[in-house]
Amino acid sequence: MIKAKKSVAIGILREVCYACLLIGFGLAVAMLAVV
Amino acid sequence: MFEKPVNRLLPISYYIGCVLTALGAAELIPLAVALCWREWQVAAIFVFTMSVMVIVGASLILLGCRHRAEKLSWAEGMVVASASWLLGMLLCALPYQLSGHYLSYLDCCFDVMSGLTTTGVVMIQNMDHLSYGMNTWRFILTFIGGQGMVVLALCFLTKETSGAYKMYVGEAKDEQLRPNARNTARSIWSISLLYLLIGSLMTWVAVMEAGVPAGKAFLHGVWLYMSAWSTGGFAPMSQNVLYYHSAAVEIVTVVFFVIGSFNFALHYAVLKGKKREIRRNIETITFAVTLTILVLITTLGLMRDNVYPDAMSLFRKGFYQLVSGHTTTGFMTVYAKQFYYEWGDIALFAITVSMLLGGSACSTAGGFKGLRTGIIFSTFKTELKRMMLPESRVCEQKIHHIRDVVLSDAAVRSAFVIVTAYLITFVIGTLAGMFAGFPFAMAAFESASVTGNVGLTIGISSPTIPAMLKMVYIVMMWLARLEFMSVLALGAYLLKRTGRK
Repeated sequence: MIKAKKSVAIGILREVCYACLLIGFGLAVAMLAVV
Repeated sequence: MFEKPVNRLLPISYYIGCVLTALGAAELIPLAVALCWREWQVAAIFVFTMSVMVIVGASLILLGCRHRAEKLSWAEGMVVASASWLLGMLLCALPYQLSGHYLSYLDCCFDVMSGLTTTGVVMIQNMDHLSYGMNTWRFILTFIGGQGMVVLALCFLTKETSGAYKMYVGEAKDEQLRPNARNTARSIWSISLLYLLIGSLMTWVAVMEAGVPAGKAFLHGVWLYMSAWSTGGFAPMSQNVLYYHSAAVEIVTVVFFVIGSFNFALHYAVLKGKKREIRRNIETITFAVTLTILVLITTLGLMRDNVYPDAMSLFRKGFYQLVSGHTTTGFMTVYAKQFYYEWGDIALFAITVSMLLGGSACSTAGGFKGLRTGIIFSTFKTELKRMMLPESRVCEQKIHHIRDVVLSDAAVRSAFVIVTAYLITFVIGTLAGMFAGFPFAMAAFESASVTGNVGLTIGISSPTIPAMLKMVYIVMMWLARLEFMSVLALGAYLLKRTGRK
């Protein structure tokens, strides 16, 4: 049970990290374009 | 295709009844909200309309309950899915009609179809003064539509599993997370409800940070999250997400609509501990590649026309609208007319393409879907390789989607057929917009938004457009959400029943 909860929490973190990576990429492109 | 049409209507009516009853029961949530906020008139509307829906649903169940054990054919499963969506639209529009915020019943049906298909374009009047109860109904429709109303009925009402998988596929969700369709439906709802808790909390905090009082911010947080996760595009205020003028709200919503656009099979695999799936899956790779190309095109287009002078505006306006379009969400932080009058052709083109490409298959998103785009690119790559290699060499076409899959000709053909169907729908929608008097760029943008179940609007969708255009858009949303085959099966079934071949 504890293991299952841990894997779900890590899974959610992985998905959030992927989304944040895309957001960071968008911000980087916007900054590069202006520079 | 269909055997003994008269008798076969009874099991079909049983399953449609289950779906309509589940939809009626869902009205308990807006009813509870209306009671909590002492909106007595709205509560009365929900009591009345819920009774109507449950009576209609229960009558259909009673009509067919003796035949519920009969196996449904594939075509019948699809008929159940498409007919449920159509009847569901007609019944779910009742609370809207009684709310007094719509000019006609057609507008109510438009908004229900827009909500259920997670599109997000609206016909509502005076949205900023809509009651909390009625607003909750709008977002419940989006949330149910995103997960699938047949999926909802399978979770709670239907015990029979013989035809369940066929209905489930009929609703354009063909991934089996677990061996049984009912358990798969339950897993989909478990994942969505788990994220609902986390996402609503984060969005609540972000909305409070934007300056909205805690009580109201709670409802806005839950609604916005439901809309983001379902890639819906509805927002509680008429200015959509622009109303909050908050970077925190924008970042939180982007995170959740990107995650919401993932395939449920991918969620299930990642939450089960498959570490590398998110990096290796063809859909996440396709999404990252197409987004990269389109972000560059949009940024170059906006820079060329000098629309946004600083990096933060370029990010908050350009990137946000693009990701919102690509995930088929439809949240906006610009005014509709800005797209046409300020953004320029290049950025408009990139957003239109992104809306057509869409999110992942078996997710809440619309569009061609990443899986099909990935398959088509992989086919081009394989064909090119085949031309380069000696004729005697056999080329296998492989993709990674949850596991390594060798693609069959049928899978490739299916991807091309569905993408072609989307393109034909897009062309018809563009033509309809032009016939209604709108310029090509505007008509194409709105048509891509409706075909991809997106919800970004360039200003066409409003109560003043001709009724014919509204009906075309309703059919387009319905066709695209169910990915064509179910609606075509319903058409074939009706033709068969009326005696024509």
